[in-house]
Order: sequence, then structure tokens, then C-alpha cells
Amino acid sequence: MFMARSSERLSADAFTRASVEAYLQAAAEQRAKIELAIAEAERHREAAEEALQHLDDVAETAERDPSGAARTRPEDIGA
Amino acid sequence: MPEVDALEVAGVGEGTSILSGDLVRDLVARNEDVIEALETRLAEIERLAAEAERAVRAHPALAKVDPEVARGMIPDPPVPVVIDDGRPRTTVVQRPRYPAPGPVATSTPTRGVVGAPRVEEPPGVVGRLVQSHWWWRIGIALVAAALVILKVG
Repeated sequence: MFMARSSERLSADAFTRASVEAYLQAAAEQRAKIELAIAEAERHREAAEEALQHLDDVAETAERDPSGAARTRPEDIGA
Repeated sequence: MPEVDALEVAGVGEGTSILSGDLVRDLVARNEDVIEALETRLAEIERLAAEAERAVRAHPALAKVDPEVARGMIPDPPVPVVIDDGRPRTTVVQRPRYPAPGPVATSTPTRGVVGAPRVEEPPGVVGRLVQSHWWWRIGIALVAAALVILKVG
């Protein structure tokens, strides 16, 4: 559904400086929140990709050594 | 997006510090661009993270890894955010999207079919007697007893 951007709804000739400053403050807080969420999501992605890489290594090792002697222990990956 | 409704429109001769409408529109538009770009980036990274986490869960080598390590690899599900604003709330129960299976009139046996709806066989004469009300059972027992006494007599 189309929603007009806020900037398109503003039509006055002038605005008070105080209200513009309050708006910019709120906008900065929102940007900071999204940046935090991005950092958190990035951390999740990196952890999952590392785990995936580790599992690929385990699968490869298991193919070479089907006896299962290369079973991963926690200390092997610093868990 | 931060609400622009709080932006006060300045009137002429109010003696307050004002900014021109064009400047404010430009500021707000640029801010919206930045926030939209950040939100797009966040959605993309969340998608990649979810994809990688799904791949970890589905990886065939996960079973070969030490269980303690495997637990560390699978991220915890997100914790629901508790809203405690003092207002009473009702619990919303998520219904499955598919309709609940109802009884199916079929003559083919369904036993052993995984997920097939259970079809109740209609009870026989004895079954109906067992399911019937207790005074019916007493009546039937009395009639049976009377028949036995008459035969013996």
C-alpha cells in the first residue's frame, strides 16, 4: 500500500526551530536504534556462518575418517 | 520514521526562532532516506542471518558434533518482549492455518496412515447397550433375568 513520506506531507512556509530540533533528536535516536539492531543481526550472521563453516569441516573430516574418531570436542573450537 | 506531526508551524510575527519550510522539508526528506536505507540494510542482514541459522539447523554434520558444541551453534529463539503497561490483555492463541480435520465418511481403513483423521466405526448392538443410559441397562438386565427365570421354571 502506498504511503506518502512525511516530507511530502509538510507544506508550511516555516517551522519553529525548537520543534525541528526535537524532530532531529528523535530521528537521531531512531537511527541509533536501527544501527544497534544492524550490529546485533551482523553478529548473529557471523556466528551462524562460522558454525556453518565448522560443520562443513566436520562433514569433510568425517568423509575422510568414517570411523568417527574426529568427533568435535568443545575445546576444539574454543566453546 | 520519527513523526513530523510534532513540527510546529510558525506564524508570522510570533518572535520565535523559525526555519523555512523548504529547509525543513529537505532535512526531513534526507533523514527519511537515511532511515529507509538503514532499515533496508537491517532487513537484508536479518535475512542472511536467518538463512545461515536455518542452514546450521539443517546441516547433516550437526549430529556428528559434540552435543554441547551443537547447542552453542544453534541460536536461542528470540525472547518475547514483555509489555507491562498495566492494561489487561487477552491471550491470542495462534490457530493453525490449515483447517482442523473433520470426520471423513469413507469405507477404506485409515489405520496406519500417518496424519489421517480417525474415523469412528458405528457401535454394534452390544456397543450401543454399553453406551446407553444406566436405567436402560438395568431394564435390559431385568428382562434378561426374567427370561432366564421363565426358562428355568
